[in-house]
Amino acid sequence: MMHTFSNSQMIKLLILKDWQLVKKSLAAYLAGGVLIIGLMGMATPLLFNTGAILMITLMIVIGARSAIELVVNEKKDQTLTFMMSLPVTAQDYAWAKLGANLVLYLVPWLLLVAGMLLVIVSSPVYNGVIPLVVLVSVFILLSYCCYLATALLTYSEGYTTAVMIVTNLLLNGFIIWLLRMPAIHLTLEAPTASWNNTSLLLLAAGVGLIVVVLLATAVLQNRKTSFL
Amino acid sequence: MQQFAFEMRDISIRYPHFVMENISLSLPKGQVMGLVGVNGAGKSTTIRMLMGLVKPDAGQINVLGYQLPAQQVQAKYDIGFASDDMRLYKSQTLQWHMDFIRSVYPQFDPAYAKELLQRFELIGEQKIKGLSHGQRVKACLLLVLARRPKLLVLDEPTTGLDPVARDEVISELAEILRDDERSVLFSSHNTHDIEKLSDQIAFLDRGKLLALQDKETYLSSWSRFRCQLPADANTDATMSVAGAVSIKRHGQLAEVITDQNSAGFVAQLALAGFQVLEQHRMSLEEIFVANVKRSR
Repeated sequence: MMHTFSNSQMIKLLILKDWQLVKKSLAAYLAGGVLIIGLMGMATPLLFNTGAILMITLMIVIGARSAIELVVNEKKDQTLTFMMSLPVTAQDYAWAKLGANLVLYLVPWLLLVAGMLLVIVSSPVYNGVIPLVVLVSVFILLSYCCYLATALLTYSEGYTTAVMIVTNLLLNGFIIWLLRMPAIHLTLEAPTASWNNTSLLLLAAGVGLIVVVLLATAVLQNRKTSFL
Repeated sequence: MQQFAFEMRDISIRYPHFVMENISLSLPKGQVMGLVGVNGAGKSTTIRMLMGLVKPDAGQINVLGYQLPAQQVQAKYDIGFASDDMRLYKSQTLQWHMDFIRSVYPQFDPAYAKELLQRFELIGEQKIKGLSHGQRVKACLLLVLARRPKLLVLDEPTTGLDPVARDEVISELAEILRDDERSVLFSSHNTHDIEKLSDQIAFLDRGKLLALQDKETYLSSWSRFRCQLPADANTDATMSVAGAVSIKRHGQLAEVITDQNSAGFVAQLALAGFQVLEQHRMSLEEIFVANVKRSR
């Protein structure tokens, strides 16, 4: 029997399915993000820093919930068997999961980062903080990719949580390290964003690592011969 | 045109504490195979290999004319699979699941789905987390049956169901089986269901296929004899009869179970000094227990 649906269609259906599962909570998170951006826009150092901490927390929570709910819980809640009964291979499913999770994280991540940058440029907050904000956001994205990869490859709540904890601890260290760099530290209170060699190199390294993690995940996923 | 709903040839798979070797299993189209075995016998592993969820280490699997696991996508459009460890999304309604399945399978029949909703007494707008275990099992079956698959693969479909719910499910399966084009493989601990529905019995134990026969032949090959031993029989002696699966002695009486029921066996009993008092046909459950005990 010739079927009208190719497997790219199935992959799209699976991504759409995941969107339907998380759209309400994503909407709530984005609403929270808008409030935080508003807080940051009040332009006092205390409120901006408070807002920044809340924003970092929100970005981490969005990623953590997505990886756990859409990946780890699929095996834990035994909905994976239901998915596997559908006309998909292990690889199709893996691509759908990777795609769904990236899209469902990148969209709010981009919106929140764009929102923060908009607040910075349109308020008395020093534009010099822009590289710091971008670099920290990219680090959070890289962290997300690491625990997403762990979730997709292991389906283990334990391992995924461990990677989340490690990357969150590293985030603190990363921020402190950044703030101690003269190339970053000395330009924080500048009126314009200073994209110097250091900040550009760090940005490139962050993006490069994200690509490496995602490619490695895709390759390892492709080797899976069974789900259960 | 393929004769078989599925064919498994010389299938082997190895896990750290479990081995299945050289298993060959096939189901003619339009027939029902009951897969019987204790926990850990390999039933679910066999079913998962058939669904392309697990790749065997050796052997060939053909389902509805498609090679598995290479062509599992095409095969799965015509296979309906439900297992007792399958769950639906708790936060979503049954209607959401029906809409999702409808978007995947062109052959989904909404009218039949509505009929099954009523027959199974389910509510489409109810969230899955609000369903009882029996209702969840029926919901999974509804999603599978409503798209009218050519091959139904059911792993313990009636586990945990109350008698009324089980009867509803079995009746629905029996209804489906009126269609000679549809084939069913189901595994169950409930040997009454298997005995009721199956055309063929496949018996697995510890990764080995102990029997694969049509139901009537299989059931009639087993028999239990109540016999009287001669008065001078040594009560301490171990007696054996060719073809006997087990012999239990109670003084001068003995119960003999055989899987080679025939006039020849009765003659063997007489030769061994057993006087047959009664002969009973065994139920599948009794055969199940005797077969497993024999292989231990």
